[in-house]
Amino acid sequence: MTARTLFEKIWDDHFVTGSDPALLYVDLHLVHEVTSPQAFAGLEQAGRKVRRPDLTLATVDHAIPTTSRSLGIRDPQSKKQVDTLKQNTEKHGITFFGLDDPRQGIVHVVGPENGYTQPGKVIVCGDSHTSTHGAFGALAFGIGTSEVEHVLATQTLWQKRPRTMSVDFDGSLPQGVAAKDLILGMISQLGVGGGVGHVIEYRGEAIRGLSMEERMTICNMSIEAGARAGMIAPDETTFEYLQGRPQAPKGEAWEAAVEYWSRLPTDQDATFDTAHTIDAAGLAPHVSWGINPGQTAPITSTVPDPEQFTDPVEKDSVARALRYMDLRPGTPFVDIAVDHVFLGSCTNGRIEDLRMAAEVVAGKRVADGVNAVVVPGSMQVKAQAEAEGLADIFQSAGFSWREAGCSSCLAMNDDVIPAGERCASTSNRNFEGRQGRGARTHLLSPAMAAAAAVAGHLVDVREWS
Amino acid sequence: MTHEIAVVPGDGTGPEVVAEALKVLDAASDLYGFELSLTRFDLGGERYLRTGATLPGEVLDELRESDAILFGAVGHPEVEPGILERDILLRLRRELDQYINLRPVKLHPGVRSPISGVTPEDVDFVVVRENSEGLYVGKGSFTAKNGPFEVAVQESVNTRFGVERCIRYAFDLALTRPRRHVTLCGKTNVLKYSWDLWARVFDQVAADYPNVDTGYAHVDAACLWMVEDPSRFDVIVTDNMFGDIITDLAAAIQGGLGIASGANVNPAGVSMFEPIGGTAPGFEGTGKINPLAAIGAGAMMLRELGEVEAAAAVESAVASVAGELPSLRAGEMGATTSEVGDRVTRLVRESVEVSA
Repeated sequence: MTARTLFEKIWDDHFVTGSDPALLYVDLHLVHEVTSPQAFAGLEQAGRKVRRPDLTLATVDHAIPTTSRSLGIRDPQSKKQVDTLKQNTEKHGITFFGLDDPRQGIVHVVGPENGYTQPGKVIVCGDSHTSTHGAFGALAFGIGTSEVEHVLATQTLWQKRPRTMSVDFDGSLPQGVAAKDLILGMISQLGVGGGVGHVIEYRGEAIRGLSMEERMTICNMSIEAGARAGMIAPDETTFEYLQGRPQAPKGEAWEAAVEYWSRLPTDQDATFDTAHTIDAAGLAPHVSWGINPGQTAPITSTVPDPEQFTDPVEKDSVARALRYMDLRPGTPFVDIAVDHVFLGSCTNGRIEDLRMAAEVVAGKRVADGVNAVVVPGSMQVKAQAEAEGLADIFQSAGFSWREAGCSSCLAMNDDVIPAGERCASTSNRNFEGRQGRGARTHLLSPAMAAAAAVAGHLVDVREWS
Repeated sequence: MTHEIAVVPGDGTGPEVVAEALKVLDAASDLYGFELSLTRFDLGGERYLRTGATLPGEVLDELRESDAILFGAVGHPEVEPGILERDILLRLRRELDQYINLRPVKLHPGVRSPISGVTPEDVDFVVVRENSEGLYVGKGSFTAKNGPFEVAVQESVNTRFGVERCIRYAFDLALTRPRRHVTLCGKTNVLKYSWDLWARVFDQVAADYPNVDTGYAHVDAACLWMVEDPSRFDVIVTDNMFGDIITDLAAAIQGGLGIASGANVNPAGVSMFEPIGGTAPGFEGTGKINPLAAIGAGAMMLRELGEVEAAAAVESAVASVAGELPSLRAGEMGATTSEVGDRVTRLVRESVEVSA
């Protein structure tokens, strides 16, 4: 048998028919309120049923409010989306983590924490950051609304076969450098088109040392490098995380699953179409300064000068980014004042993220004039953070403590950053207008965001006391 | 670097606005170090009336050899409407396989939009209109013509090839824009065949661009949003007919046809750049027509030719002058056609002096 990569093994195990595109079987279909209504409507019109409601899981996250839920949803469009999803899931017998369910949360947080996300699965969802689930050694990618309908109807999906890419993170992660910095550092080195057409497998010493939640942060942002998906081979860390979760196999089934999962990692002699190496030990905390995640640099450096760039297109794009961001070349990043801090999202809204941030915040106060908000990734994360006392730490420091959802990451609800204001954000995209029209986003890690909230400006968290 | 430019001033006010565009392009080429080698073609109503020819084969061959075409407008009071448009404009699009119609829509600071409360920050999007298929392929039939039970059928032809290359162009364009967002504008709820194909291909292409945000709007909703909240849009991709309609609405919200530039693009071939306003026969020879749309088309041409810095300088000069004029409408600019061209030229010159 020829040597195969993790990706190739999962692909082969899910291949149904065809060549390019191939028809793949889908093990888990995650559904949320924004990209599903038209898909369900199409299904109804064609008189079809959901093929495998048992392999489908729905929750609400994108456009829901994160303030108190006792009064329901005020925004009529959001209310309609949520009500429609509730009706659709009831009608088709799909498990639904609705607004009043203690398991509700961001789709990419609830899948893993309830044990739905498992190694070797093909996982799809009508959301680009589905790549998150690749952290478990699953093949997970975002799909469009017409494909959501196709998966609902058939539990399969036509896919063009992507190329494979390995990114090796050499050395171990330095103190004060987070998973977010690994992935931001990688995107700034490879560029926002660096992964186009590929599925990235993250490898190397630094990756093996990461927790599951850190791995999810890495895989989550694979698509910001243009990659189709990102994945990490399952290992003891993966199994330990999964064991005992509600949907994880039990007893003999668990033993059998672990035996299968253990055969998934890339074979010794397997090769990748493209290979990159990143010096993890040499990375510093990163912060984005521009309007795409590739426009990112170490916190120790300064705002770049468009004149440094020789390529006229790049010069133009840097100049435009600085105009939008209202930044002057040469300004040290640590001198940039922030108006808002957003802790949350499918990238960094998990319990470990909140712990890291709380450690920085403990006993301190949010700086005057800074609006700091924590939006836990799920209601379970929220409950756990409250049980661990993290919520108290945040609230007594002056953070607003919210209900779970996507929130300011994409500002589809009321959590909009006002035009011209600056937000240190643990989310994944800093496109113009992403967090609100005219809003200025700096992407960074939870600890860096928390430190910025206290200091009132960006800081190097390694020098934090 | 020398670029071979075919210039087709055409009819009506076409020659006047093209002259101003050339004035600005001439200055830009001096300042930014490239050459434009111009060849003029007298396609249009006069030539048709004189010779009976609309687009002779030898002219077409020469146009094929050029790097880009700068186009004024065609249409003549003594020629039956449709002949020149169909035999010159539409034929050129088809012969040169200009399968994208590109319409950048920007409200420049200082320009009054007819929609109150809309600011320049709200209006900065591009419509990518499929330019070769759909309802405009001219297929259809009459049954029982002129009878009481007559049936007219107009067919919309949408090929996977045609739809995919158009959508792909839109995603590539989004990658170069700061918001990285593409909205598919269609009618999936009613037009179950053509828009089913569009929606499926859109999702398949989107899969290759995971770092571009996507959205969908029915064309009716898109019209509503364009007026109520145009800031929703970055790149809009749509078919030939919907594109034809929404680009006029878009021109209105950016201040009218006086500022609306467009391009018929073949990304691997010869593209054609034009003000979309037409021949404006009432203003021919009066010096009252607004040349900014033609000058803007010239800037689009420079960008397509790779003269990015020069293009940016012309765009920024057009924006400044647009904001200074009391109105963008013909006859209400408070300046003549030629004076407006001079003002843009001056600003382009100053842009170099400032940055030097």
